[in-house]
Amino acid sequence: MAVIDPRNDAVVIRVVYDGPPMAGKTTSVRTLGKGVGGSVVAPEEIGGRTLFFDWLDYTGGLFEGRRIRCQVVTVPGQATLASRRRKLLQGADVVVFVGDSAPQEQSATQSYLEGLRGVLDKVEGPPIGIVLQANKRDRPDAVSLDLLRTMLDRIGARIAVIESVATDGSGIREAFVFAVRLALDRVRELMRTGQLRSMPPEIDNAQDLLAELRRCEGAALELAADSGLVHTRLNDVREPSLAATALEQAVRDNADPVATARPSIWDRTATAQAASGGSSATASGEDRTTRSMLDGARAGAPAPNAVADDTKPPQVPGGDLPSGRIWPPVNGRLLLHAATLEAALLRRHVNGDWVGALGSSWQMHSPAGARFADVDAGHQALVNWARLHAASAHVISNERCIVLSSDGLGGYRLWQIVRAERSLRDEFDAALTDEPAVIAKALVTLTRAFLQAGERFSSAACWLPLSLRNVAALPGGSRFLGTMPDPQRARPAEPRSQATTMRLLAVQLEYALPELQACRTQALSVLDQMIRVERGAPLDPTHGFARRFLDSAFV
Amino acid sequence: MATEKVLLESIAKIESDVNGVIATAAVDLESGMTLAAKSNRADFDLAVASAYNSELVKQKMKIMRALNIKASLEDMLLTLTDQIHVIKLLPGGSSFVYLAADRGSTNVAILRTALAKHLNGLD
Repeated sequence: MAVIDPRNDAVVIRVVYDGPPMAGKTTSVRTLGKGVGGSVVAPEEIGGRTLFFDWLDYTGGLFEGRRIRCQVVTVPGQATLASRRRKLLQGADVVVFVGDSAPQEQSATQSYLEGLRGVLDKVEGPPIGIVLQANKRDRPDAVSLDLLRTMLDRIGARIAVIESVATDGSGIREAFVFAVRLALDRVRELMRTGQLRSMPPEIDNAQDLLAELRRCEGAALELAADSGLVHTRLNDVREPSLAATALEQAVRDNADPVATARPSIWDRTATAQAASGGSSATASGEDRTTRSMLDGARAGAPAPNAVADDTKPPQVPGGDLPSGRIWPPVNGRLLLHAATLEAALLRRHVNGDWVGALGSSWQMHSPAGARFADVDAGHQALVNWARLHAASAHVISNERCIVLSSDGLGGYRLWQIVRAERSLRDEFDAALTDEPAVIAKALVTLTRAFLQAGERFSSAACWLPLSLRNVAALPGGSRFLGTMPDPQRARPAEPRSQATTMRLLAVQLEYALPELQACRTQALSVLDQMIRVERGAPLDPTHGFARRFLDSAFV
Repeated sequence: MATEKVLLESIAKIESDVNGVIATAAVDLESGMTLAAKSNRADFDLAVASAYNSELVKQKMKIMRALNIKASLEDMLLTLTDQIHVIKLLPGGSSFVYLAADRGSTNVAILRTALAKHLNGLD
């Protein structure tokens, strides 16, 4: 973890280069070393043993007036020795994951990435950012960046991708500098939470690291050296230890694939905003309530330092923003980087908000009045909004960030950017094209998730609209997918009774009546079977609702 | 962000138009890390210069905000007794090019022209 070294008042950060064997980690670090004029030390030069990690010590840049000392360490190919790789990664402030762009290496890349995330997720403190350095881009058969991003989406990874050709230096410096930025975001967060310690680093040079690894691994390293193993995984020649097996299982358990689709961005964004009295209202019992909420909020005092003329299209946030203007730190920057790779489409809503989409995967929103002439006022507004998000973190989707960026008109604007994820409406629409048994089960699942959302949203820090398009069934429970109200408009959350939630659900399902009518008899039969299985137990309200809806909707 | 290769090519073109270049670097404003660098003198530590110049640019931007100046910072010209230093912000505002030259071999106008010519279109 980063420290302030009082001996020279430098911030010391650890940049770890990880990745599958032969992906180009060592080449990358050696090329980086040449570029920055630093020398790379390998343990083979120390103690007379070939132990295959590289160490580069480079001091450059400034953070809050302090020099930045980067300890750059590679995880060697043999680091499938779980304890060595884990030890190296646990000390990282940021990881550059070097992946081979060859098609046949993609499954190894994905497997290593999932393992990496499993390890990093267990490290205390602010999140550790990852940069994917897609190496060997000069290969004629290099996989496309779209495929790489699809793989990252599939495993739910928020990771910036930078192309490289380590052998000629392309992309090496860019990946390193981006990684340093992510590490500094983490340092800033450590500072803010009082966790940034002032002390000489525990590992100060390559010899210290070697000694630490020897202490941790003991005989395993001796075996590797004595057997003359070169670029050979030790696990290939010996039985996996109980610890290694347990780590593999833990990594597998931690891999949570997130299903992605291509939801209707405009529908969701328009629904949330239009329900406030905008262009096209949806058939939602929440419309009037939402509209009056926004009307009430807008009647209030304007934001301090807000600029009156809000009609000119603002500049959309770019990926390069100074620290302190993105929330959450580290992950927010990674999300922003991914989102701003897409083309932006922006429009002004009738209520003065700016709403839009970045490609087909992200929605963006800036409330009317979230424009500031003064960056300090904008920053305070960002902090207030971040507090609202943080207090509702248990009920809102994770893939979102808030940014304060220049609007290109001499001022600053606050944005929230939210990944568009598959909602209950999307899931049910897909099921409606399937067999009656699937539809019946989907209706039960949807009802369960919607009821759960109705209950959970009551504990949010503010009132959140409840609709099929705004809720997703994610691991961990139902989550709000929409854009959060800005603090000036937010009103307290209100408890919703189950009966109220069910009435709301019935209204929202009316659009599906034609399809449900077509399969009503068969769907009812499936539901009756599901209810019969539970005979003797209290009737599950989700089954009860689904049956009543199908039964009575066509009377 | 322009790649290191592209930045080094631009730096080479600038040096071909200007006499007496001591050192040139492209610098990430946020971290002060060099994105590309070329020094023609061993005693000119570009890493140190880049880091502190990033602080200089950030301070200047703070001053502009404090004075409520809406304009954007384009470049900064610093004249020493025997050197001229130019800091040119790249479009996008997240990086800049820093060039130090021998004052006896060139002048401010030549430096500004060469930088504008060869950095146009980079970000």
